[in-house]
Amino acid sequence: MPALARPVLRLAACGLALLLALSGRAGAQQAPEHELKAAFVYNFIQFTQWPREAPAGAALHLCASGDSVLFPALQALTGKSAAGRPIVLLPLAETLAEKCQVLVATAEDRPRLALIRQLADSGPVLTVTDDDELTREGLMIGMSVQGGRIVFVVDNTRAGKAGLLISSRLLRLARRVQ
Amino acid sequence: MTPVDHPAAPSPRLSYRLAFASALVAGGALLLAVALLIVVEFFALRSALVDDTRVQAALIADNVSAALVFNDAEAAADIVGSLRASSIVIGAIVVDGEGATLAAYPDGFAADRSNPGDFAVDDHRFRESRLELVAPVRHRGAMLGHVHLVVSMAVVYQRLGVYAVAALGIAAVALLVAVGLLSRVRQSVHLAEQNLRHLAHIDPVTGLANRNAFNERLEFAIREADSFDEKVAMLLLDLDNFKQVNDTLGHQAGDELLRMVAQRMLRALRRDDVVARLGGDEFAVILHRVGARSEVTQVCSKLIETIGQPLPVEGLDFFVTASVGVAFFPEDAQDSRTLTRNADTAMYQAKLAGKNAFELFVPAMNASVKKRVTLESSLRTAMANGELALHYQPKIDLMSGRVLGFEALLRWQSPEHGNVSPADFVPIAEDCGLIVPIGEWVITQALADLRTWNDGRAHKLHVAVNLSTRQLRVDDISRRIARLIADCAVPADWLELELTESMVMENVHAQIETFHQLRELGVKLAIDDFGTGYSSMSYLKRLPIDTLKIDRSFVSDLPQDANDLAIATAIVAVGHSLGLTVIAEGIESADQAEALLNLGCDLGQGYLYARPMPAGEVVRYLAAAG
Repeated sequence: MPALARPVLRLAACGLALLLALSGRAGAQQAPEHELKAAFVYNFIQFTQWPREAPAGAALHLCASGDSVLFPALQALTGKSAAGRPIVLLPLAETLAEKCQVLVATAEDRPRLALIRQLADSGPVLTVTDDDELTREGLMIGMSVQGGRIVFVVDNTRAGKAGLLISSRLLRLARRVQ
Repeated sequence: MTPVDHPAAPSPRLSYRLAFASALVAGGALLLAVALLIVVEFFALRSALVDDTRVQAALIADNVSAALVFNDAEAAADIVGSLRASSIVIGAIVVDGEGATLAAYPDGFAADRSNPGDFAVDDHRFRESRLELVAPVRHRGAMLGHVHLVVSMAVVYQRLGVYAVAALGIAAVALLVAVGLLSRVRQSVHLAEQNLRHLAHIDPVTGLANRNAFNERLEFAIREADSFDEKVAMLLLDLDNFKQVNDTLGHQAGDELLRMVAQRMLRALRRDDVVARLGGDEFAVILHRVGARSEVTQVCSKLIETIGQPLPVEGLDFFVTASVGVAFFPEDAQDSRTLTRNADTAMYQAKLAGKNAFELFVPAMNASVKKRVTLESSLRTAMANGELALHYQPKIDLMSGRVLGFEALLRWQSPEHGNVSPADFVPIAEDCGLIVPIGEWVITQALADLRTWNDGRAHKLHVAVNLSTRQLRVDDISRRIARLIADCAVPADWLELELTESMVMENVHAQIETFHQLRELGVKLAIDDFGTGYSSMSYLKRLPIDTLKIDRSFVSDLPQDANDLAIATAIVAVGHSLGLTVIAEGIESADQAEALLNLGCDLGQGYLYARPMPAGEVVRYLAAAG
């Protein structure tokens, strides 16, 4: 994706600043698109409210397939916390599926659509993808890159059905809300 | 002449200035209050603006948090842009945690971010009629950035201006109303004061100045005369027989009479003379700038003459007379009190001298008044101390030379003053009312003495006692005398009461009833000093009297003086024709006795027969006389 290279870099610079602001971690390093998307995922979690908030300290499980391109970047979120819950990254597997609160799917997960659907129907799971096709298949938040910036759409109806409350402040930033 | 005017009222100019000054002070106080209110209002408005701005900034900060997190400048600008709905917002910026501006309203607005320390303590500061406020942007505890909001203070000043105008307007209206009300209150207070002053200075009966006003005017007149080296005369005028009019006709008629006297006095005096009624039947006059004393004596004569004219009250003509005392400033007194006292002394002398007259004060009067005062105080204790005694002078039947009775004469042997003549102390006793108990003592004592002398006598003697005008005025005099007679257990016809001719005739209407009552008791009545007053023959006929007593002045020159002889002859003739006994007093020689006997006079008394003697000698005298 050479055409995307320059916008992505510009975006990366902004994202780095943002990430630094969020994490408070000092230091300067190159942030590729994947880390930026991971940072977005973290921010989505920040502006989402799960029903029956688990007691403080209970882990928030973030699931992604082990072969996902975002998996390495998502690993960086482990150890961070959202609303007092430490984030734990789990590899997506059928056995562990019911433990997930957040599911991040990429183009590699298209074949596992059935599993994802099953997972999403099983309870309040925030489903996020950066793949336009999966977005069309009904995942709640779909990220894409437009004009060198990461933008996203939100299917708030589906999130509402799943019992999730997405902050209006986040919805306001979305390109499209269903 | 206006009877009274008031020099004490403050000038209208002064009271206007006082009102103006108090309005000014009230206005100043109101202005200060308004200024303080404006200051308070300024801080209140400013504080309200800060609160509103803080809410606005907090709303923006809350809304913009996601935009900051996602670094979404467009969304942030959109959110901040919502401030355009507010007219007071000058501008706003959203700053991220690094201090970089994410969005601004209006586009390109740059907030003054110098001295960020200003916001460390407070979240706002005031700069050149702007309010700058900083609100933090937080999400789930994380500090994301700040919102700088700059609003105009113009609205505060505008509201403050409206407030100030309204407050000043209200204050002005309140001041006007207050000044109006106050001036009305002050007016009514002024009226009430005038009324009170009037009441305090005016005698309600005559409309003349009262004692208060008179004292003020006298002080004033004396001060004035003192500085201009002038003379002031003070006249004290007392109506001699006003009390009788008042008693006979009642207070209404008495007041009417006082009013007429006041009018006559005003007419008789100059315009700038002061006339006052001091109370009762006492009047006072101040004559300013007096020249010769004769001027004042003329005024006195004129006053006495005009007052002496008949006064028509209730269809009858009344006669009152006045006694006037005069004292001069500065010859007789240096101050108003002494002047008044000396005028009073002079008036008293005028009364003593026979009333219906005036006297100018002379220092010797003070001595005689002083003597009177000490006599009076001694007299009060005289009866209790047994200093009073009765002497008896026999009354002789001119034909047979036998003693028929005695006249009881009062004597006062004072340890302080020696023998005091009845002529000196009886008027005092009459003035101070002591004559009533003394008179009753005389009757009781005389009857008690007589009872011992009459004990075993074939021809009972009688005793004559003098009765004073004052005693006759005692309400139930006849009943009191009846009780005295009863207490002594003697027949009433042993007692003869002697009344002077002037006493009887002066008030014959009022007293004729009393005479009849006394007569019914059996008491005998004699007219003393007959021939010295003015007796009306018709009254003489109607009065229930027994005896006429020829005055000693007609006896002393008998039988040589043809006039006296004629008078004595006439009295005897009148007496006998009315069936009365006639007695002559002051017989000192056998010639006089013989002349009177020849005229047909029945009885006589005098030194020729016996001087008045103490009670102890009477028994011996009676034994010698047989």
